[in-house]
Amino acid sequence: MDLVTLEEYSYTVTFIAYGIASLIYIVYLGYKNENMVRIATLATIVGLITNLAFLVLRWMISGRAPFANGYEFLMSFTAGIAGAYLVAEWKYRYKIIGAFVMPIAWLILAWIAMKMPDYSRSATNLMPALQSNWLSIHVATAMVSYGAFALSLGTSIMYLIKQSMENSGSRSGFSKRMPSLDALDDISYKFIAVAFPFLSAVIITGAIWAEYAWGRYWSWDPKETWSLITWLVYAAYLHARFTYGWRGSKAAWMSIVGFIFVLFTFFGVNYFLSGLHSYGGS
Amino acid sequence: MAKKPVKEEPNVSPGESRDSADDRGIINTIWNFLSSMKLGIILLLILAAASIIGTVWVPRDMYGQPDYLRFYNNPVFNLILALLALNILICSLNRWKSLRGTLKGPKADVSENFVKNLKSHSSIKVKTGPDKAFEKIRELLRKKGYRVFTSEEGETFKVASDRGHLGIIGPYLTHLSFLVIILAVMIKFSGLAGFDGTFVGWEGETYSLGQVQGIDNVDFDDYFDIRVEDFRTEYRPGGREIKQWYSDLKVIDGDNSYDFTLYVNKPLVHNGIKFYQSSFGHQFSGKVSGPEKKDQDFSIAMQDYVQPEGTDLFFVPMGYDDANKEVKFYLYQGRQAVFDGGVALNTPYKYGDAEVTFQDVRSYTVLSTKKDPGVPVIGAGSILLIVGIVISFLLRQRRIWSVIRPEKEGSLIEIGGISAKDKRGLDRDLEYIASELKNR
Repeated sequence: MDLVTLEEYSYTVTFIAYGIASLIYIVYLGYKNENMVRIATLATIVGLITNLAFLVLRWMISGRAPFANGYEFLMSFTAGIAGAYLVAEWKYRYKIIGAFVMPIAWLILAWIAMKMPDYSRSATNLMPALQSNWLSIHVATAMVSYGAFALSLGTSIMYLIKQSMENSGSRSGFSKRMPSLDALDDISYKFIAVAFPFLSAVIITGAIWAEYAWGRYWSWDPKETWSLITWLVYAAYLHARFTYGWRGSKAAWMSIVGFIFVLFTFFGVNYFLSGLHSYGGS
Repeated sequence: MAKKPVKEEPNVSPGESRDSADDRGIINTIWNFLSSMKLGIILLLILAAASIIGTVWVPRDMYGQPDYLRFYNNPVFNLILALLALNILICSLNRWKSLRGTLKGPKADVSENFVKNLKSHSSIKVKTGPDKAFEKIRELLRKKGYRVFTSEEGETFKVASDRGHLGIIGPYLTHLSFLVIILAVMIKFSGLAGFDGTFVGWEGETYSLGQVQGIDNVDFDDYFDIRVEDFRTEYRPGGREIKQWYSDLKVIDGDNSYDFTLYVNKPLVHNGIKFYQSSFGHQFSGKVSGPEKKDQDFSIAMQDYVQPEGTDLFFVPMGYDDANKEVKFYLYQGRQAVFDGGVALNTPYKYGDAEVTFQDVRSYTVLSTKKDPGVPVIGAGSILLIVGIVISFLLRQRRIWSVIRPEKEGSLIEIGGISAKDKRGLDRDLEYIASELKNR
């Protein structure tokens, strides 16, 4: 079997594995069965392995780091999400979080399958400006950062759901099995606390690379600007949290808004605005 | 998004009563306002909102290209940045005392009520005497990595302890980094140091630095010459995709002369002046002939065209592959492209009655040239930023106080703590200490 076929398979297996994991985690919301949910964890692990295998194969096929076009960025993003989720599950033992995080990764893969034409998925050569080791570091840090932000999105949504169920006096097992509000708030914050330094590193490595490639560390290109905007929003979140004790639902809302900015920086800029990062879209 | 909080600004100044009309009161009010965290958060959000506007409403230059800088260089945007810098500066000055206090450590001499009123708090009765309980708590706290401070009042023992206190340096470094980065940007835009320019050089020619367009703020002692030996385009196999552009240069600066091959992502730096591969061009010469077989000589620039007499054909050279000595060109018949490919130098290319022979190519390279003493400052600021953020998140301060006094048949321990960033960690430590105490 040649590498390209193998790479296609690794995408398909990842897609199926994340799909199975998402499905079981969602079923687990209403039907508590520890053996069943163990399969979901296993599927997530398998998916992450094939997801990473995809990136390695892409690296072997193209002879460069697999971070050059939208397809490769998205595959890195999903690996970041699955990785962040597995860390959270291993650390906090709340498998129910999977129902709110893994579907994000699966939806991204589904979007690729439906919307991304073959030509923009193929392994292409790098244009001269992209031939830099800083690109690899830049995207690798983004993968960690965005994965952790996605996790905090999931736990923030859980927070709001659980809170509204508690407020309305619901005593369903689903609400009871969710981690406590305090724990959800804490997990959201901890993952933002990981994602934020990495986001800073994404911006800085991007600036270093721009300095080498174009001689301008900052040119207010929309992608740069939106990454800064995202950074500012999370910086505001962190200040509000420490000074005004913005926890709980306020923090959860801010984390959701922050993730909308992450998504816009990732997708929106390429589709609605144009700039130096235009290659990121196709 | 940022509009709404602005209305709250009048409420920001805490502490001072606002109707105190004396100057000191006003100065304090302004000082408090400028140093408030609320202003900081509002400014962060205003900055975010303003940045969004700049990506949606993009000024265009005379060629219709987006000119992002023009928006972000306008005075209003700079005013927001300046206010934020001022806010951070005053905020940091204001908190200097608390920084020193935190580094020194918490005071042990607190009242029992203070401990009781802490959010995470418990009262524990033990059978041992206060001195033994005190020893035990001290030991447990040390085991958990706390710095311990104590005081005694008769038979009452008091303990204050903390860990992760160095974490307070984190925000300081982060905020300092912002000021450093602003400073670097000011250096760049002050026009007092460095410049942004363009160097255009033909192959085989030697240029002095004085010929760089836009050169400024460079000492004459730092001037040197550059000889452009060669400009090369490297194509990938297949001859369509460009792999890299190279400029082979010779830096001529007395004893410090050397050859340097510059390409995209590999700038040349000499005497603090940087050169980046930015653009290029070619001048092609050769001959064409039409149905009458009469040679016409031509010399045209890249993307210009030559039309053999008596035809509707246009040869448009697009680039030059140095390794294969091949001219890349388009051929149009009227408006229709009929050929897109390459032909070697001095090899005729025939199309119908027409024929073209490219005989010579001369190339020039375009390098963006700049000097920016702010770059190392930005680098230092970036390192500070990352170090500061990592310290802030890794070292999370937890503080625990305890008051131990004798009671009938043993002692009563009041123990409690605070942690802004790691309440769960603090609660775990408190639980651990409580369970260890009860186990005795």
